[in-house]
Amino acid sequence: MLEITLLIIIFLNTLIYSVILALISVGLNMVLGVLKILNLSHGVLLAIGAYLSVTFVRSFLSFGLPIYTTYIALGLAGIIAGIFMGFTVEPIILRRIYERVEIQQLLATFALMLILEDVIKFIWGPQSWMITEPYLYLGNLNIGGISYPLYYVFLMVVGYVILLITYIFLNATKIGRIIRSTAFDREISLALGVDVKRVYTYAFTIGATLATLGGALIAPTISLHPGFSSEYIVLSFAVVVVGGLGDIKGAFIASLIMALARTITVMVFPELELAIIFIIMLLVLQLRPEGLFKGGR
Amino acid sequence: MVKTAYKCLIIYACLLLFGFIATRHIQHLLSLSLLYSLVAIGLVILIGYGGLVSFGQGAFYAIGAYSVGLLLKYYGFQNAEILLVLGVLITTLISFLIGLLAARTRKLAFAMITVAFSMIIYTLLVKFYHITGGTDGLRIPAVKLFGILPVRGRDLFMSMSNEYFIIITIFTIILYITEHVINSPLSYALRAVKDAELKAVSLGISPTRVYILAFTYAGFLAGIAGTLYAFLNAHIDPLIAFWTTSGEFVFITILGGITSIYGVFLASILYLFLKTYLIVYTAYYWQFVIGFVILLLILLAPKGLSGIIFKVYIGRKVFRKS
Repeated sequence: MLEITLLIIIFLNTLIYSVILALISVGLNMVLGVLKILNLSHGVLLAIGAYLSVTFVRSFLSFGLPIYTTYIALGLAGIIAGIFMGFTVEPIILRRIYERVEIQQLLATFALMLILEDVIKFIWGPQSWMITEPYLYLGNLNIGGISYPLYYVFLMVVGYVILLITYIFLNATKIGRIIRSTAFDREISLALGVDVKRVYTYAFTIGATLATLGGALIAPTISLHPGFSSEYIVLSFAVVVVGGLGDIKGAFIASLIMALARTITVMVFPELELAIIFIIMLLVLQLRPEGLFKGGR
Repeated sequence: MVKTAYKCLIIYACLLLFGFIATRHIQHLLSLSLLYSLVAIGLVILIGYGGLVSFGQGAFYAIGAYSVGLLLKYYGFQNAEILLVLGVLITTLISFLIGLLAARTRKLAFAMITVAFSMIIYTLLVKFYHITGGTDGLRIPAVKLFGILPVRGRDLFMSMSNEYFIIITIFTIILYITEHVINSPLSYALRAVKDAELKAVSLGISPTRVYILAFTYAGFLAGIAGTLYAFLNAHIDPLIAFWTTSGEFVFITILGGITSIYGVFLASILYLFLKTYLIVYTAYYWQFVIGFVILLLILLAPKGLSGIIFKVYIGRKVFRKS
């Protein structure tokens, strides 16, 4: 009985952690694939989504709305933050550095990260924030005598729905196909009459929205403090590298692998909890620098 | 060669003179910026001459510092010179091993390997807290150099502090050595590999070997800086291995104009003084100003500080990809 409980919990933990990783790294990888820029400030987008959802949830509650509306607040905050950041950051800053050498692009997005982090401190202050209402409202789930917060299951389901919608969007709609073709070959798309500039903005906005939605989803489970996102960005680097640079499906599968590795390591050897992710990253870069799944396509 | 020696001696004399007049606080800041420029000089060789961007120099810096801290805490070495040599040896060895792994990759994959490595070091330092002290870090007592000179304190002439004296001396020696490295066949092989790898191979240069050597040298410099940092700062914590610290080093290198070791020397002084006084006057918002400056520099003056001077004198637009 205990073994089954343990297995269920490993399974749940893996899925939950992977959905967070996937929301960040699918977006990061899409930006990398289409815009050909490794956006170091992608993690801050997650933080902005999380902080904005704090404000939304707080104001919803202060208007006297019932607690179940805070889930709408979370979603709204994620989408608004993503669309806002997408339509400001890409046209104002990223558009000017596409022609530059790699290191300058990296440094420019690093600068953007520093700026946005302080903008967060400027708006929300340097103290830490918590919104536990959506988390506590759902209560606990009983799995073989171990109580498991139901909010995590909610997070997982919503996260997978978002990822599924993104997948369908990229594969079944016209604009999605245009984005993929631009990622595949920019010149030919340009020759076929695609407005590449606009596609770049859209792709960046979608990537940003995935990150901000991820931030909104995890906001009730953690205490937000300045700089908490710089750990998520390196984690998503690891996922992106393992899945293959620019490979969106690869990023999704890689986040499952990473989450499984982490969950098992937490149980067996907790000191290596985070190190294992980077060890896998190092190994993949050594053995298959083009990513785990590039060969199969 | 003689010219190089004179140049280094003049810099040493200036730094020494400055030590007699400057306050302890300024000396501390200047020492720290010399350490930063040591790391950045390694990056000049790696990025400027080799074209490889390492986002992992912070890890070597941390390995140097933590070798000192752990050797002191667990093995009770009390001689600063032994600690210094051991710390640098350990760091150089590890950077050689990582170089073996990383030198086969290029561009983004290389940057990623270095990020992965520095994050491994960071998480190990944080998670093995019963050994490393976790996020609280380690305290470094003021051990004595050659049994007479404590690594911190004011036992020298006038206002000169010990740590400043030690750091400027080692810095000048490294500057002299690095000038030789930059004029050595290794450096020219590195440039050849950067500009045209296939041609370099056909001339009998092994890119992997050249890159391993360059990476090891950069790690060696970061190791020296790290061990000295442990002596200077009296307290070390894992944050120096986090990838943002490595990002700072890369930024300083770019600010100094990636191929000039004197450029990065000035850039690191400028950067650290700017950062320190921004923290003093704006408390929470120093990152904003630094980020803004980086962004403006990249958008308007992509060749760095020496590039601005270059531009003023020669007035050429350079450093565009296409």
